[in-house]
Amino acid sequence: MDSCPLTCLECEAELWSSLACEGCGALLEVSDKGTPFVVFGIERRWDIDRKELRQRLLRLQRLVHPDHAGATDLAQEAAATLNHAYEVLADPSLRANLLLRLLGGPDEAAERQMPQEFLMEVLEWNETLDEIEQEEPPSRQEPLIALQDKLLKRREDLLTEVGTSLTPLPEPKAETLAPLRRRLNAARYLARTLWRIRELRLAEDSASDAPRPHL
Amino acid sequence: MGYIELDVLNNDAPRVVIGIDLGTTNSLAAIWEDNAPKVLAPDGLSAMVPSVVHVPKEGNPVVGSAAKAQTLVNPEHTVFSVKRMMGRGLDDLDLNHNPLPFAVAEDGRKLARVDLHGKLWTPQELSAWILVGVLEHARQATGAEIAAAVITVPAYFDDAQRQATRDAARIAGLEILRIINEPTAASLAYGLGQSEPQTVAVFDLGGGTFDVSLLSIEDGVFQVLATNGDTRLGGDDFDQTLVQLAKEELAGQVPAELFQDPAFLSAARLAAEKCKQALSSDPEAEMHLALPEYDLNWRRRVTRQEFETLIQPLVERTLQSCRRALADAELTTDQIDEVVLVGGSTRVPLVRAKVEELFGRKPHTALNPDHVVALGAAVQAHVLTGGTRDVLLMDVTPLSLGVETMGGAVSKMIERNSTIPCSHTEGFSTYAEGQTGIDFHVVQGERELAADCRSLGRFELKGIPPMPAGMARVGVRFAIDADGVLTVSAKEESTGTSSSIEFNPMHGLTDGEVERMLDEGFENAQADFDQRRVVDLHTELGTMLAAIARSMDAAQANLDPESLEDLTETVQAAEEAQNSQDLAQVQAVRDRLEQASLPLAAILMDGVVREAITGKKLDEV
Repeated sequence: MDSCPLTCLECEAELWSSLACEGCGALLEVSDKGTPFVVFGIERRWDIDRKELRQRLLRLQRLVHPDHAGATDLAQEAAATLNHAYEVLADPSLRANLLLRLLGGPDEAAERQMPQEFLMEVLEWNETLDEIEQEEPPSRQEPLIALQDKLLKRREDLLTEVGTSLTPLPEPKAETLAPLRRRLNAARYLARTLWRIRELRLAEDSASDAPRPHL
Repeated sequence: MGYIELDVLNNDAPRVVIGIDLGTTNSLAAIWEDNAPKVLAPDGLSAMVPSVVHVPKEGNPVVGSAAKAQTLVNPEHTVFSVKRMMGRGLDDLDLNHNPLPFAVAEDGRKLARVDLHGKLWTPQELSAWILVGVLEHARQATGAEIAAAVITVPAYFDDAQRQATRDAARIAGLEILRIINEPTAASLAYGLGQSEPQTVAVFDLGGGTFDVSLLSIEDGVFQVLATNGDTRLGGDDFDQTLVQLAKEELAGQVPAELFQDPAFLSAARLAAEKCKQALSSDPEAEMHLALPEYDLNWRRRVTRQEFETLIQPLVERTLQSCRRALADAELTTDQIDEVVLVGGSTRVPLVRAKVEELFGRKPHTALNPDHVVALGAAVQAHVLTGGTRDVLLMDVTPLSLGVETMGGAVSKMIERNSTIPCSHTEGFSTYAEGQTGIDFHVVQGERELAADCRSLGRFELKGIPPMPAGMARVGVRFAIDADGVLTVSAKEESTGTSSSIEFNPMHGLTDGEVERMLDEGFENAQADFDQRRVVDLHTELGTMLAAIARSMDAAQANLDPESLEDLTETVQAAEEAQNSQDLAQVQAVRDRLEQASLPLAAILMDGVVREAITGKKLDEV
């Protein structure tokens, strides 16, 4: 499991993060900061408390951010590690990918498939999107929003399913990990399609002048 | 706070740290004092130093108001909007469409340079002179030496532009505490006094650049959620639409070469700027272009509506940036609690109206849009010198960073809007036996092809231990530091040897070049300021002498003989002093003239008072 180098060499306070000691403010000179979970000093699991994560981010930022710790290489590196760790843990999809990797599951190159039932839906969405792209600009916005809402909902459901299979963390067996990878591949596909929709909507906005809310 | 002791043994004047807003049109400094930031203005002067550099044929450059006064007199040697050239090449400046009154050339390395009396000046050097001017202004206002400063840059500045700003400070001999983004600085000035957590949009439209940043502000934590912008969009472009209008209407009536004449370009630009400013308060204004040597005296009424039609496409570009930033932050406009306007160009009514329409709320305008960035920089200077731990700034990098791959595509390493500092390590391998070097091309931008992104330059890895092809594995670490500036380091992973990296910037200076510029004359900056003050004093003397000459009849009629003799003598001395370059002497004569003219002023004042009360009953006075 992820654990820290126990106590601070400077002040002997107990350490909860691999970046710095909250007791004396010393930045830790360990070359391997460990997983994002070790950086944040939280248990390796899917279901994390977002509020607590943010609180820990701010506590650690005040220790390692170059504005407070001085613009040394050590501080710049610690802050970069912290920002990256936060980005991964705060994003459900990145967090799931990390857990799958830590469990020894297949990466995208080893398992390229998406779930069977998902493929049919993909065909349907692509068709809808192609149809929308055929339309003249002013009438695209409404169907784009409808499709966007649909895909966002689908992505959320997918990640909830992934979360359920990761709670509690499963035994590292191929028959449980491969389906997880396939779901994550589907989530990635959805993210790319959502990006395409977003760009179409932005292009639409610059063509028409009307301000509209976005996601 | 705001004071840091750097050298206790050699400490004549107190040393302070300041924040500097290095703007396209104006620059200014601010300091943290008595628990609040305040802008620095020497007695009787504005805080704003025009970002204009005049380079005379002999002697050192003149900066600020004195330089701006040369715009019409000496357009070929008076440089403005230097910021737009920072870290840029000639291609970026679009000179065919926007000709400049001074000559811009490109050196061998695609770096824009200004040709002044046959010497090629880099934007970094010109910018350094502006900084020297701001520092002198700050020194006069505080009576202290400036130890170091936080300098602001547009959030959307790319790496080359940030490096160029850093180099300008080095050339000026100024230690930079930190480079921070202008909208972020503005949010600091705005958000310090706010007790409620909120999401804020900072809309910053300056003279030459546009930024929009979305931030969450809570409990002293300022986190940028997304930023977008355009480093080639600002009030200058609004002016250009009016210059274009003038050209269209004058075409055929004047010789075509007039439109390339530096005198015309400067006069048209100033006339357009004046007209634009008037249109912010009046529904109609006049653009007036007078060039006696061309027998040109052109007047044109411009209605606000007409002006708005001209700038509409430009304003639309700012709105599109706002929509992109909102999409990146995954926010809708109704989730924005406050819109803060920054930069002089947000005074344009159409800009205000469009921003209000997009966000569905009246923007916050309590802060002076010209001062707020410098004030925020002063807050950050206070934080960085240990003044407070209550403020935490988390900014982002505005553009994605990538390397060019085979076939010219871009492999992204750091996504835009990543919180800084951030880093990414990319593995490179050798493809030939015994290969000891690897070369790669680093770009910034959002496009798929490297050719469409902004080239930062080529990095050359050297000193890889000779190994069979593909065996050497070099980890190259790309890190963006808290200034938003890229550093690259490399390590051969199987042997652990660090490889050295040589960087050939596309639009920047090498360390050697900066060193050389440092040696080239900034040590004389103090002398230059003496010279500038002499110029200012000469102007002042001229004004005083003219006023005295106008009232000489009254003086001869009313002054007592002693005062009259003193005045006549001093006037003579003052006329002679107008040819003197000795600061102390000119200053002394000016002070003497002021004294000597007091009795005359008293008489004239009496006259004014008598005139004012003539015909009035005593009790009405």
